[in-house]
Amino acid sequence: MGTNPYRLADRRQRLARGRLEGPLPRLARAAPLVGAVAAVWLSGGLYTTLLAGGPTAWAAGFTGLVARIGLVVGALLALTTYDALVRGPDRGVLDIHPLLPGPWLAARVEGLVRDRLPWLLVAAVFLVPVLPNTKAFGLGAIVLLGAWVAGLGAGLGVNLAAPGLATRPALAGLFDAIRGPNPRMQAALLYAPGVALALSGTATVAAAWGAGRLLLGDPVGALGLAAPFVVGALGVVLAVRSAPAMAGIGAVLGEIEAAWAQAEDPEDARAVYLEWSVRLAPAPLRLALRKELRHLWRSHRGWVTASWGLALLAGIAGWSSASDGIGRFAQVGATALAAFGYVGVRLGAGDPPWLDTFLPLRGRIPARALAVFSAMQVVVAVGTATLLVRQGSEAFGVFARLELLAVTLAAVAAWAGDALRARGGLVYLPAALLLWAIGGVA
Amino acid sequence: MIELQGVRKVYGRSVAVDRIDLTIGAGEMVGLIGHNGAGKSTVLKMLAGQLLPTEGTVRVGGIDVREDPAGARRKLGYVPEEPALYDYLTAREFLELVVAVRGGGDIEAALEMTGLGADADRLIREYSQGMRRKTALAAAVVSRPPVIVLDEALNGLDPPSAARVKAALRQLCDDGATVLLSTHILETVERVAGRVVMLAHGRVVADEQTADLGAEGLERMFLQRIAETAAG
Repeated sequence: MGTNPYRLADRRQRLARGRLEGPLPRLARAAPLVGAVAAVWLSGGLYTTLLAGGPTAWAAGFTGLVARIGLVVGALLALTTYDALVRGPDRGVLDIHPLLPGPWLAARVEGLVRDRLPWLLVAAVFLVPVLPNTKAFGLGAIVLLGAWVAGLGAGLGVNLAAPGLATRPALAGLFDAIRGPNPRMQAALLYAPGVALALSGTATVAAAWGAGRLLLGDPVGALGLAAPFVVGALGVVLAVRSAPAMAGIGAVLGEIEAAWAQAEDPEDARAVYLEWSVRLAPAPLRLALRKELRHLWRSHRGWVTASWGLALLAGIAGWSSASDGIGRFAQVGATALAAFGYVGVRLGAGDPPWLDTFLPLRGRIPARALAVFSAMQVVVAVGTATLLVRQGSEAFGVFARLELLAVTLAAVAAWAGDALRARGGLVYLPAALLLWAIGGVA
Repeated sequence: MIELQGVRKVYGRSVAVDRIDLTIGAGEMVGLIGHNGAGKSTVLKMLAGQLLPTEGTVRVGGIDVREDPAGARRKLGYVPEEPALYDYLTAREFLELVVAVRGGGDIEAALEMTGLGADADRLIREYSQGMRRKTALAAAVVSRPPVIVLDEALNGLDPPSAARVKAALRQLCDDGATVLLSTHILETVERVAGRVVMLAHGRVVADEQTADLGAEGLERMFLQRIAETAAG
C-alpha cells in the first residue's frame, strides 16, 4: 500500500470524502441498483416477448437479451475509462510532475475496478427474469462479466496506446487518411474511444452468441464466450506497455484545447443545456429564459441529470405492448414530471432578495415556467417515443395529457417559487399531487 | 537552465509566439512581463510541456521537452496561473505525493518557505485562494528542481507570505536554481528579478538587467515599449 504514492493519495482522498460527505451520497450510489430493480419490474413485458417460444427461439431471445445488456455495460466501461485516464481531474494535478507509469496505471486500474464493479451487479439485475433457468443465468452472468472486462481492457489499452501508435511510420498513411486537420497524435486520441467501443462491442456480441450456442449444446460457443476475456487481457498488456507515453499526453491535450479555444465563439462556450431553445421563444421572453436556463444548469445540475434518469425510466415504462402498458407509462411519466417540477420552486427560492430592485427582468415567471417545461420534455419525448413503437398511435393521447400536465406543473412551480420562495413547496407539492392524480392516474 | 531557440507557436492563423530566442542561466531570476495576450502563458506552457512549439527548440535543464517530456518535467517545478490540487488531501499529504513521484524532497522546508506550516494538516478544500497558491508553490519547490517557473504565482499572497516566498526564491537562485517569474505586478519583478524580459505580440521587445533601468524604472520602460510596438 505504502509503496504506490498514487494509490495512497487515492485512498486518503476516499477516506476524507467519506468522512465529510456522510451517509446520503453513499445511499445515492445505490440509486442505479434501485433503478435497475424498478426497470426490471416495469419492463416485464420485454423479457417475456424475447424469451417466448421453444428452445431455439428461447436461446435466440436470450442471446439478444444478454448482448443488449452486455453492450451497455461494455460501452459504459470503455467510454468512462477514457475519461478516467485521459480527461479526468487527475490530469491538471499530475501533468506538471514526473509520472511513475507503473504505479500510476496500477492505481488507476484499481480505482476503476472499485468504482465500476457495482455496475456489474446492476447489469446482473436485468438477468433476474432468466433466473429459473440456472444454466442460462450462469452463462448470462459470464457474458456480462466478459463485457465488463472487455470494456475495461479495451478502454485501457486503446486509450493509452493511441498516441504512441500515431507516431509509428507504418501507420502514418492510415492516420493521414483519417485525421482531417488534426495532427496524428490528436487524431489518435479523438478516435480512441470509438475503437475501444467497437472492440468491446464486438467481443460482447461474440460472447452472447457463444452463450446461445452453449445453451443449445454446441461446445463451439465456448470460443465466443472467451472472446471478451481475451480482448480484456490484451488490452491490459497493451496498457502496461503504453503507460510511459502518458508523460507526453498533456501536450497533446493542450494542443487540442488550444485549437478549440481558437475556434470557439466565447458566447458558445458559455451556452448551457437547452440554451438553443431560446431562439424559438417569443422575443420578450428570450433574455429571461436564457437567464433561467443558465440558472437551472449551473445551480441545479443535479435536477437536470435526474431528469435524464427519469426519462430512462419513462422510456422503459413505455416499452411495453402489454394491455396495461399505457396506464403504467402514464403513471410513471406523471410521477416523473411532478417530481421534476419542484425544481421550478427551487429556482425561485434561490433568487436573492435584491434581484427585483437591481436586476428587474420582464417575464421572469413565464420564462422560468418555460425553462422547467423545456427540461421536462426529455421525459415526455423519450417515454412517448418508446410507447409509440410498442403501442402505435395510442401513444398520442398520453402524450397530449402529459404535455398538459407538464405545462400546468411548470406554471404552478414557477409562480409558487417566485411568490413564496422556499415556502413555495407548501403550495407546489399538494398542487402537484392533485394534478398528478388528475393527469397521470385518472 | 532554460533555452528557447527560434521558438514559434501558431494556432491556426494566429501567431502566439514569434521566433523567440531566450537563454536563462543557472542562478538567474528573470521576470517575464507583457500585456494580456503577449504570449507569456504560451511560453510558460511550452516550458512545462503542456504545449509543443510549432517550430524551434525548448530545453529545460538541458533536456528537450519534445524529445523527453518526462525527463524535462523532472527538472522543472511549475506553478500554473490556476493550479489544480487534490481538494481531499491535506497540504502535507499532497506534498508527500509530490515528493514520492519526484524521488525526494524536504516537505518541512517547503511548508516553512510558504508559511503553510500551521495549516498543513487541514484539507486543501478548506483553503483560501492564497493558501491554495502557497500549496502549489510548495509543491513546485519541495524537491528543489533546478528550474522553477511561476505563472502569476505571487498573486493573492498576503504581504508577509509574499515577502517570505520572494526571499526563498532569491535563496534558491543563490543555490543555483533558474527562476522564471511571470507576473503583471511590475514592482515584484523590479524588486526580486535580476533581469526582465518583455514580450509584445509574441516577440521579445526588451531584455534588460533591472539594475540598468535607472530611476524611472520598469513601468516607464513597459509603457514606452508598448507604445513603440503599437506604433511600429
